[in-house]
Amino acid sequence: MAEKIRRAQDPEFDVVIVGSGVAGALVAYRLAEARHRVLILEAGGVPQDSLGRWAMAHYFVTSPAKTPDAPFCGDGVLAPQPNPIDPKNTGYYDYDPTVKNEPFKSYYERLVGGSTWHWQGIYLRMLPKDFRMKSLYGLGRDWPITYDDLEEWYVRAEYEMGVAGNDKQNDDFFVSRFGAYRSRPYPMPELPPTYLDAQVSTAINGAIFNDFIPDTRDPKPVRVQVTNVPHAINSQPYQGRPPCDGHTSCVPLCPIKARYDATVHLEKALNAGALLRSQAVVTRLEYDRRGHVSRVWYKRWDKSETFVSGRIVILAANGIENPKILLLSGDKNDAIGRYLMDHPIRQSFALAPRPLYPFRGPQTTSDIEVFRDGEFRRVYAAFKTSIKNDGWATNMTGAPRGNVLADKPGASDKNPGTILDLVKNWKYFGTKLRTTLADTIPRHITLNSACEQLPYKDNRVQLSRNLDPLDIPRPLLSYRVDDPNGYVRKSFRQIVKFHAWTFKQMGIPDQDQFLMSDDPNLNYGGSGHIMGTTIMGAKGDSVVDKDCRSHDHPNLYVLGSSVFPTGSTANPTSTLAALALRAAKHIGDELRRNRPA
Amino acid sequence: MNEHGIDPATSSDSIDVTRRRFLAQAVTLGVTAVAFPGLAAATTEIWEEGDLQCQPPVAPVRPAYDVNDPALFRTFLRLSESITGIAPLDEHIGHKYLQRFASHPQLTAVLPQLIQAYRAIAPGTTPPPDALVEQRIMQDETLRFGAEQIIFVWYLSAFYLPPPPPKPDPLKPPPPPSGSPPKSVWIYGSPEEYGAGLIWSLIHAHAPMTPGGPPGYWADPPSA
Repeated sequence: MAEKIRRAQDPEFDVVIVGSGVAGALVAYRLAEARHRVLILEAGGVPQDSLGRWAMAHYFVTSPAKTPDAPFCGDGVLAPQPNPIDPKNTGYYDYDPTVKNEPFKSYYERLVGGSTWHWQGIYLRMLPKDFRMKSLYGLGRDWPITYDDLEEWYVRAEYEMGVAGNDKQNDDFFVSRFGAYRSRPYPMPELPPTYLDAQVSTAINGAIFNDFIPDTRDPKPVRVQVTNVPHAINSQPYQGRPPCDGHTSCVPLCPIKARYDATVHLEKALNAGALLRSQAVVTRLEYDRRGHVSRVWYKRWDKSETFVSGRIVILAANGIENPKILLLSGDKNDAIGRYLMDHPIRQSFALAPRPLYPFRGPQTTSDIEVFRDGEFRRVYAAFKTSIKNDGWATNMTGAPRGNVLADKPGASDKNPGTILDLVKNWKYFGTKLRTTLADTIPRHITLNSACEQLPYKDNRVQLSRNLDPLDIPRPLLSYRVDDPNGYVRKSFRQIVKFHAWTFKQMGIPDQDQFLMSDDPNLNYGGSGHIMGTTIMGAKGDSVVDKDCRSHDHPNLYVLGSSVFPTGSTANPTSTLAALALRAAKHIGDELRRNRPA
Repeated sequence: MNEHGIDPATSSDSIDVTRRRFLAQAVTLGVTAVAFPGLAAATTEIWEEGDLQCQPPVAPVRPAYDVNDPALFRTFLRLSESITGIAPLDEHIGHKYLQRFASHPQLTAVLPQLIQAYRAIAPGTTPPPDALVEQRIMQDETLRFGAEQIIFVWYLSAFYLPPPPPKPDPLKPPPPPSGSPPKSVWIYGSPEEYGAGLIWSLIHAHAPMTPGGPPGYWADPPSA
């Protein structure tokens, strides 16, 4: 009976959006503002956020972990998800036992607002050449759209979210070197660089780097420049949110909301009439005979299942959950789940000769982007290098506190850096402890380079036979960080050379540089930039078209970085936000054209 | 070998990066207790391994001594100043740390022994030399255990101890079985204490997620 009543009401909504991260929130706002009936389904719950963000900040400061999910302590917030403190990421991800794998080290948050809770707000656009990797360098794929197609939408997203950047720098550097023009200035001036940034800039700005790995094609000397990082972080009051005052905790949480997160547009969407159902985990889409999505089935946390329907359905989960839902729905398109990408990270750290004073200001305010494009991309991956403002906190030392102990006390160590290490292993206390900490920790510096990863067909998401706690199949991953040609490995070699060069320019002796070796197992970190898996392109070779519409289901759209055909070196949020706004326009036009009588 | 003395192809063997090596080893050791079919051996370099998401629910105990005794507090504070190397310490926070230490089930018993040992080497108000503290407290295994926790709590506002068992979460997979004893984690107290960790003022910074200053303060070096 209930079934018949529901059928009589189909479709209940104009738009059903799966996922409440930045893509889902932006498109929900745009469509609700246009008076369409919008429902947002979110797998996770709502974090405690009365009294500002006091409860979340409290959870963070009292947690042992200080990990990205630390603010979301408590029942009813996080849906089953990868565990950021599992170094092999096996608690939620499964791995295909029939192939050789390496851990996929990126994870995400499944709660209202998605992973924008814990991003750094770094807001880099892709470069014009990033859209044409196949044509220009013979590798990867070309996007079905160009920088010119997306530029207008980059701008709109920047004004929606509030981005602080340096216009003169963009003209002087990004336009002249990469052709990355802007049609409008940034909404806000840039966040000032830190004192630490200034010391690095003084050492390397304008210097010539000319130390390339042997098989680099056409190596040319590179004049190095430190650039200011554009952020979706307020440098001045913007749309009711305050300017950043440097809590140095963008990840895992901005406690004052100076850094944009998706709740900004979720609140706007709800105020415009959108509905939000939290703790609603979408399990599959049901299709009619024409291939249209007729129902969106979802499971509540008590494991009861129900469905909802919409004229348009939008998957805006992420690069793992989007393909998972399509596979759970029985979709046969072979491209679904394939081309999983991240931005593999290689870090180096060092002890500078003079104090740099880390742990002051946003976690990254300057970077080095001169290696984001060049002929070398035929041979090894482009990369960008962030100058970290939080000392050694994000490398494996976890300074100043410390995370791990040597397996035996008193292990050889020329440069102890953590309180845990000094006290437990070195038996320091009293004056010696104080003076050592005061002398060394202000001199900590970490360089963090993230490189592009080409889209490989065998890097993919499938369905595991193992179930998560809601009895939904877990993601089954097949993942290798590199390929037989060593695209990432060679880039890592170049990165380590560049790190060593930078440290040397800063006057740091070899013994105070801690460089990752070129180990056989290719030690790497994950950026949390989960891309590919529902890529855009031509029908027959991809999942969605240039407007993010499914090739197979006319009323289904897929948003987020899962549609990226290649990964570039840009943090993906700027591009996925631009694509979401572009798709929202397309969807809105379609809804108006096909409004029921 | 290039001009910087780094040969990426052989750097793991040719450079004395002892810290890197032992940390990589420690991390690897920490995860190899569980078998992962199909996974190549690897370590991680991002974020923190082996800790917990939420504050462990430590149940306080009633100490077998008067924790409000002013003499006890004075000695606790002077002991703290000796082993942290920082004086004078904040008495208000000191009271809180004494309460936490004395009521912690794994620490309460060692406090009287520490107090007694310290009074024996510092009967007056003059702090004892570090060498004497080393000899009489830090070389004693039991006393050292307590002294380390006092150092940690003053610098970081956290003890470094094995946590009590976590509350089961129906939506999180259970931790993998392990035959080894629970790993120590950082057990924090209140937000007030977190922000007051000595390390932050010592390095001219602030505890992450606490205010650092007016917008843009980070562009200048810290003032003296």
